[in-house]
Amino acid sequence: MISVTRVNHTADIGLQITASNLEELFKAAAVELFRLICTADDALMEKEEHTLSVEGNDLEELLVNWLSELNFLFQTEQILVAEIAALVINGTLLHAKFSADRFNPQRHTIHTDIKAVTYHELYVRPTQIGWEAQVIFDV
Amino acid sequence: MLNSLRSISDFVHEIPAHGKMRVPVRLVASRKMLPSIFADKAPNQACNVACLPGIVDYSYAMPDIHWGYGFPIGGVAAFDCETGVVSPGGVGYDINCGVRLLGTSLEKPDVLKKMELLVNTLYHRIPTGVGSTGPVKLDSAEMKKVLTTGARWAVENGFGEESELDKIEERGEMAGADPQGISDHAYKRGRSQLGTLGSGNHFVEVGFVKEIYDAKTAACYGLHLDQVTLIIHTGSRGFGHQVCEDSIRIMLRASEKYGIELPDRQLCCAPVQSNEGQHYLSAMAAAVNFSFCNRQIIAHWARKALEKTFSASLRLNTLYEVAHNIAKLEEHRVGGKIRQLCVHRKGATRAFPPHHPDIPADYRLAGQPVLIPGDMGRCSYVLAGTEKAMQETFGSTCHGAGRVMSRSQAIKTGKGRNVQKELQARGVLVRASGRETLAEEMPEAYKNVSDVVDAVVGAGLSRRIAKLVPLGVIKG
Repeated sequence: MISVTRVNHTADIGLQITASNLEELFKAAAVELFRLICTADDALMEKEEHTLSVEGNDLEELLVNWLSELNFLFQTEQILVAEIAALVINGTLLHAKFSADRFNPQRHTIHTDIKAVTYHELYVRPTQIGWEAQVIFDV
Repeated sequence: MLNSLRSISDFVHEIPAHGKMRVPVRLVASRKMLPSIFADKAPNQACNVACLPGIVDYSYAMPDIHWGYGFPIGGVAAFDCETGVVSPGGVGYDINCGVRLLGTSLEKPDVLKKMELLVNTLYHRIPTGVGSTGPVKLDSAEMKKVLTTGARWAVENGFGEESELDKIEERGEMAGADPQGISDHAYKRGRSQLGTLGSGNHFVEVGFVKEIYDAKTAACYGLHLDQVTLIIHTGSRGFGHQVCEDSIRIMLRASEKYGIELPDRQLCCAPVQSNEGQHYLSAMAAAVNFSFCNRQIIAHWARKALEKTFSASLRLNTLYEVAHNIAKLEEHRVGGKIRQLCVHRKGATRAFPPHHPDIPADYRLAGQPVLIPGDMGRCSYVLAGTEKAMQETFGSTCHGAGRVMSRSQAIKTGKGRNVQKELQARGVLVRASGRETLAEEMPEAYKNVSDVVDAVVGAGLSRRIAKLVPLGVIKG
């Protein structure tokens, strides 16, 4: 059970996510980040395997650092996450294995430049049936 | 909160200190703007800023205020350098986002027939759009020179003239930058982004002087009716975004270390004099210089585009360049005493009065030029700084129109419409790399900049000098 809602913010873009567990929550946030950045016009042509480890002081900082690092990969190497094969959270450490495509204007349409993942009104918290988070991007 | 608002004058209103606020909020706006300002969370954010240690006098909100993250966009807050804090959230991710205005030797009738060619030439010459990269690619030694010398690096490397530096805030070179304190991530993000416009609300706009309100000052600034002008609005690109991101991580720890209670984590901060505070100021200065250099290079390419379209002999003079996302150490008179303050302007512009030593000598009698871009379809303004701004808002005024519509609302409103054609019908040719950008940036998404300017002029924070109307725009 994953739900992602975009939050109306005057200048920026926010997401509210709910999921049955923490790993699904972090995966859903990453998938939506790349939906905000661009859409693929065709089935992805090439896939590269990547691994990424990030840490934070707490779960909220971990979410910001995870999304920031993915955005950094896009900003500097045009890496677009296609599918997250594995994501493990151990305390405030995250390890992920994912396949990715490189941005190609023939196959991708760019939508939004995410300048940063902010701490404004940020939360990651358990609910009765799973987890929920809110994060706002500076665009 | 609107109910507790106390009007000081027609254009200045106060939210009294309550809860953990150390000072009141002073909001500059006309009465008719108040309902829309209180429709989003910006006033709450101004109240949150008022809770931070060492804030002096008031947490100010300009009439273009809107909901940001942490600090509102359109906010001014000054902190005592001995007892107060510096906060990366008070500057924003786009460090030294700013505006340069150039005056040309062309008149409106000269350019009308060639607008399409000019807009296309600018579009091809200046890299625009998400993740845009440019031909200026620097190794780390050269990048360090950019970070310490800003626009001067550009001039020394063939991008523009020495005389232009006099017409840039800080002369395009902020002191105190330390390239050693910059992360590899920031170097990587900035490496190929010098001389690029980026996306969102950044643009290069060709326009003309539609109206002059103060002939003497306009002449002093080199403006006359029907003169063709050029505005560049961009910032420090991925380099600045990364510097802010890195600094926030440090400041979150610092806020805990110094026991600073935060109403919102994005307001994280450290004492100005602490290691963390000083580190941020030196990293921020590096990003400020990256941005000054960026606009200097873009101005050079814009000049080449105009020369190619018209004549190699045309003149394109930098009138002035301002920063509107910055923190600066400045001296201000507070309660009759001169104090050292760390003035944060996030979506706000410095507006120094006549005779201030930091104003270019040519403009010393007129006051500092203040550049207020509007949306793509309406107009922009040239204002001048005043003594009242110095006395009341730490020499600060508004920065632009300010959004009223969220991006998704704007896209929804623009569905089925061709914003490009609508603008063309209003006499504005637009080229943008993304169709969504055009919808997000449509004129209705913004407040009317004339209302914003009426409010700061009404409050005495600026004088109205000239109105510029757009003819052609390139956007990311």
